[in-house]
Amino acid sequence: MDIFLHKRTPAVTFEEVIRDYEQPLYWHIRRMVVSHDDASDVLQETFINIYKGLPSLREKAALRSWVYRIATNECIRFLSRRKEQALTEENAFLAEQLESSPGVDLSDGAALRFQKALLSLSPQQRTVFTLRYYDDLSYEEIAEVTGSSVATLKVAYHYAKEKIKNAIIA
Amino acid sequence: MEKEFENIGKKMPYTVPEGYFDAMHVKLSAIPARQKRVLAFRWISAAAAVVLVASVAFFTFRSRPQETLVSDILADYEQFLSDEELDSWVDFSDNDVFLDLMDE
Repeated sequence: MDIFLHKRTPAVTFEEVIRDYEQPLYWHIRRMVVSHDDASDVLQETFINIYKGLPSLREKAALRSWVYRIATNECIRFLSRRKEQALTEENAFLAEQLESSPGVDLSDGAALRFQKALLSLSPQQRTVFTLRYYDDLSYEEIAEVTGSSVATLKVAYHYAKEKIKNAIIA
Repeated sequence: MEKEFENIGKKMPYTVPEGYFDAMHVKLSAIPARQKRVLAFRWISAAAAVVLVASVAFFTFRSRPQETLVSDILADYEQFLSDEELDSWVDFSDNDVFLDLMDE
């Protein structure tokens, strides 16, 4: 009988996750999908999945990589709905959205160029670069998010950085 | 921070509407209540479907007495039998040892 009455206390409450990760996850998603409206939709989907999966989270220490993994998967799923487009077309579409959608400050040329360069990367490279550069995740945490090895991620980050540097100079 | 990008840092050209995060916080906080409603609706829909199927089955079979149902099936079956087949069926019934035992 006890088994029916016992309900495991989650490592962290949903309210705490919203408080700590609402904004970081929004900006992570925004960098991936560009449009504010799309980012809002993906953010809500992400939090629905976080709510559903929270009871199975055993350690609070794993929370950060876990929530970023859910958000990243939602971004990839969202982007793959337009999969019929080739990668270059997809990147061109995102770059166009960057300049045409509301909620983008076009006056800061340097920041705009940097984001455009970021959008020339593949979604996987963009994920690695933004998680490391903007969100300060360790390579070990990014490995948990993406399922790749630390060595692969280091190489991917290096290539992404070089690609951005070249795109800014060009 | 990479020294190559020092002048840009973490600056982004993206902005959000005024009060966006406050409004989003309210929306996200409502997820547990919304999910519970969705779950309750699914249970009710599933239960309603079971009741509907059970009711249809109950009223369908209750309206036809069992004997009528069996005799109808036999009548339908007999239509497809030839005269020779019917004769052999009758012979078989007459010589059935188990039926004879039951008659005794």
